Amino acid sequence: MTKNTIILLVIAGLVLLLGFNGCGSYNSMVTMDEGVTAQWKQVEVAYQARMDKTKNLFEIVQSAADFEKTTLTQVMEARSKATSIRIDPSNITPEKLAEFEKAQGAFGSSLGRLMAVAENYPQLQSVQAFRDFQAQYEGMENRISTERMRFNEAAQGLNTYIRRFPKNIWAGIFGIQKRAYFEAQAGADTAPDIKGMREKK
Amino acid sequence: MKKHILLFLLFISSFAFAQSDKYIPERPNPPRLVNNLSKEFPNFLSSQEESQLESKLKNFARETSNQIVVIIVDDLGGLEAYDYATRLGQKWGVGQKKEDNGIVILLKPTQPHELFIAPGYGLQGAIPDLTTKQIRENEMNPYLKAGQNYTALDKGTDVLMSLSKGEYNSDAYGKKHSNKMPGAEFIIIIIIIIIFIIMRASKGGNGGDRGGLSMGTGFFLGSMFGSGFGGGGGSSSSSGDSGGFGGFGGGSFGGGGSGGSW
Repeated sequence: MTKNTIILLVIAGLVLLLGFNGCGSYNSMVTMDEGVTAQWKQVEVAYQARMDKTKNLFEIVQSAADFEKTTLTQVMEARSKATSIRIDPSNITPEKLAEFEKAQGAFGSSLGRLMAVAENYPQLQSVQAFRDFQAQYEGMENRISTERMRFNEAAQGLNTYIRRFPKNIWAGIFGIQKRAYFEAQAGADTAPDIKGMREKK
Repeated sequence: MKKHILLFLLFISSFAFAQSDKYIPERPNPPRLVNNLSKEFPNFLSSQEESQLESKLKNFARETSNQIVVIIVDDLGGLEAYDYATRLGQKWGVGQKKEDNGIVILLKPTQPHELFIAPGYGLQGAIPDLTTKQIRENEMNPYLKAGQNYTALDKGTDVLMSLSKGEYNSDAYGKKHSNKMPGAEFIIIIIIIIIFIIMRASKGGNGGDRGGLSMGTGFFLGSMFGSGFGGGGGSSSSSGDSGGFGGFGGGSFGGGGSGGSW
């Protein structure tokens, strides 16, 4: 009798503890998971800003100078390719993310090349609209890498969290899954050489 | 042996994520808006100039809730200027949490010179990158070159203040999440747990179970203390310390602004 009472008490205590732990874990996991999704939106905003602003750039470049056709065409092609790849924020698979990154990276580096080539066109440099774009270009790239970095931090934070015992059990029960993140940091080999451009200025 | 494992698990479970901002200085306590952390140029501003600028920015922060931070450092810990300024603004929480209306002015008086103006998310509409460039080139660089550091900062902040006054788009950043747990879900969890325990209990009451049980309890306790059960890292708001402007409010930064040499 007394033994049974003790066992019951222990079980009741455990249930309570587990309940609190489960709730806490669940809340944290959901908050973190939502945080990753929210951060993905910030990533998209930063990439989209680059898309939008380069649209004007093409017009400026075309109207201002008989600019090297190949470079310009490359950027335009890379841009339209990057535009076509969309990601569902609630279902970011590693494959999809890699595809997104590849397209955006190709666009980013071709844009970087265009900006570097543009240095040799004094005619273009004299256009105010182009100089304005130049000033924004750096900020665009900075925003992208900032939001990417935060996205990676958020995703990795969640991944670490749900892999730990006993959170991994809760994550399994609640169906919270590991999130994909950007592999190469800012695409070290594809990123435009912003720093080099800055020093030239 | 078990004790060691338990201690180890406790240790792990109370660990927070690795700090990636280790090169960013800690938020000053009491909060200050003008921070000269340079060892090579301790007199970048004279102490009188410094307190003059501080009270100007403090008054502005009190009146408008927009916070402008001036930070002077010798090196950026290998980070690019934009990264440093953005991380610092984020870490200190310059500006208010909802409005994200902070501005960081980063100055590096050692060679190569760096000047970066980083507006928070909420001020990017009022102060576009291009404008920060113009402010640097028109209001600040000429005076910095001439060694008139105070005039540069005075003129630069004048423009930033009038641009940011009463103008921020607060919907720029809405990542607020409710953190509620509905009652029904709580009950379901309890039921799942009870089933789980009954299943375990029915498997057999051999002697080894007891040790496992208490270890489990200890660990659950440990992880509860480690992570709390509200979850979601509460980003630190100001400690109620009146630095004359109410302390930093938790504003966010997204890498905007512009920078260069002078």
